[in-house]
Amino acid sequence: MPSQSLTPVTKLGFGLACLLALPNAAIAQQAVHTPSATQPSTGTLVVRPLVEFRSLRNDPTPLQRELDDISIHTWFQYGVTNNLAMSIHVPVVFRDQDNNAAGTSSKPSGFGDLHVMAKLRVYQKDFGPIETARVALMAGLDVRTGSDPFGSDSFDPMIGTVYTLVSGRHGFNAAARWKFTTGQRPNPTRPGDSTADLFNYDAAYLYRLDPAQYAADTHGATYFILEANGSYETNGDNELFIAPGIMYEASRWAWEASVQLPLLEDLDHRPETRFTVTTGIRLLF
Amino acid sequence: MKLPMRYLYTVTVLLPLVGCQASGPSRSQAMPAHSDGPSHHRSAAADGSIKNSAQYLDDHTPVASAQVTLTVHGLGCPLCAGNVDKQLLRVPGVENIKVNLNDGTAVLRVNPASPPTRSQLANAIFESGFTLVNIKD
Repeated sequence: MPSQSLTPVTKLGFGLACLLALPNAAIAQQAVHTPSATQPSTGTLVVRPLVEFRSLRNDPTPLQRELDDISIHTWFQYGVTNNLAMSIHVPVVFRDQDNNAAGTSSKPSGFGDLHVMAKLRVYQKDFGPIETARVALMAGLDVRTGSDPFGSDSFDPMIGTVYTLVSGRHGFNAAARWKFTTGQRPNPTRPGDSTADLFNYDAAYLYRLDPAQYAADTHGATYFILEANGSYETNGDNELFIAPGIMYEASRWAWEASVQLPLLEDLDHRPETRFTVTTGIRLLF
Repeated sequence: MKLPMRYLYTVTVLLPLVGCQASGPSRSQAMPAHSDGPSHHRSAAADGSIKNSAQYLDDHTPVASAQVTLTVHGLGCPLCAGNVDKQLLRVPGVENIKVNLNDGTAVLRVNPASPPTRSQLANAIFESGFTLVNIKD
C-alpha cells in the first residue's frame, strides 16, 4: 500500500465512514483494550470502529521525538462457526511529529499493517442465565500492507490465549499474547515496532453499573471497566498501563470509552506514552 | 528486564491447555443433560417440563403452541442476547422474540401454520454459542 498524505477533508470523511457506514457491534463483555473469549455467533458480523488519541514524549533515542497520533482502528469480526471467529483489523494513523534533535516536524499519515486473526473457543461452561466461563486460543498475522512509517514491511505471526468469566454483575478477562516480530518499522513508536518479539499481558474487570438486576424490559446495560495492559519486548522495553473506562451495551450495538494511563514505563527504544484516549462503537450485523 | 523464554512459552502455549480439560463444546456438550447440571437445572427439572436437552437436536416434531419459551444459559449481557435473537429469527416460522436476561428465557411467537421444530430451535441456540436448557411449549 503506497504511502500517502491525507487531506483534512479525506480524514474527516474516512472517520465518518467508519462511524456511520459500518453498522454494528458485539462481542459482549469485552473491555476496550483486553481481548475476550466471546465471539459472534455463526454468520454474524461485528464491526468495531475505534478512534484513539495517543500522546508520546520522553523519547530516549537520538531523535528526541514528540508525537501525537490520532488513529482509527476498525475491526471486522465474523462468526465462522459457533466456536470459531475470524477477524481483520485495519488501522489508519494521522501523526503530528516533532523531531527535537533536528528541529524539524512532520505530519505523516497512512495505513498500518492489517492484522488477521482466528479465535477458537476451546472451553465453555455456561453455569447460569448470565453466567459463563470460556477459554479461547488466538492465532494471528500482521500482514505487510502498511505504508511508511506505519508498516513493518514484514509478516509477523501472533499466538495467544484468553479467559473470560461472567457471573452476575461481574466480568473478568485475562489474555496473554506473543508476537514473533520478523521485521522492523523505522524509528519504533509502539510495542512490537522494533525487531524484538512482543509479549502482551492484559486483564480486565467489568462491573455492571446499571441495571443492578436484569428484567424482562431491559434493553441495555452500562458497565464500568478497569483494565491493566502490559507489554514486554525482548529488547528489554517494558510498560504497564491502567485503563478505566465505561461501556454501554444494547442488543445490537455498544459504545465504549477509555483513558489509558502509564503505571510503569521502562523504555530504551521508543518514546513513552503519556496517555491514550479511546472511544468507539460496536455494531452487530 | 529479561523474561526467560521457557516462562513465556509456558504462559502463551501450555497454560491455556491446562485450562482446557474439556475440549471445544460439541453439540451434546452445548446442551447438557439437566440431570447432572447445576442446581437451577435440577429445580427446573423438578416441574417435569424438561427432558434431556441434547435430545432436542434430534426432535423434529414441530412445537405445539404459538408461544414457546426457551431457557438459555451463558448469555452474559445484552449484546450476547443479540446473537440469540439473530439466530432464532433465521428459523422459519419464528416471528418474534423477547429475551429476558434475568432468568435466561427467550419467549418466541411462532407462526401456528408453519411452526418450527424443536430441532431447529435447538440448533439456533447451538449456533449462537450458548447452552439450551429446555424448550417449553
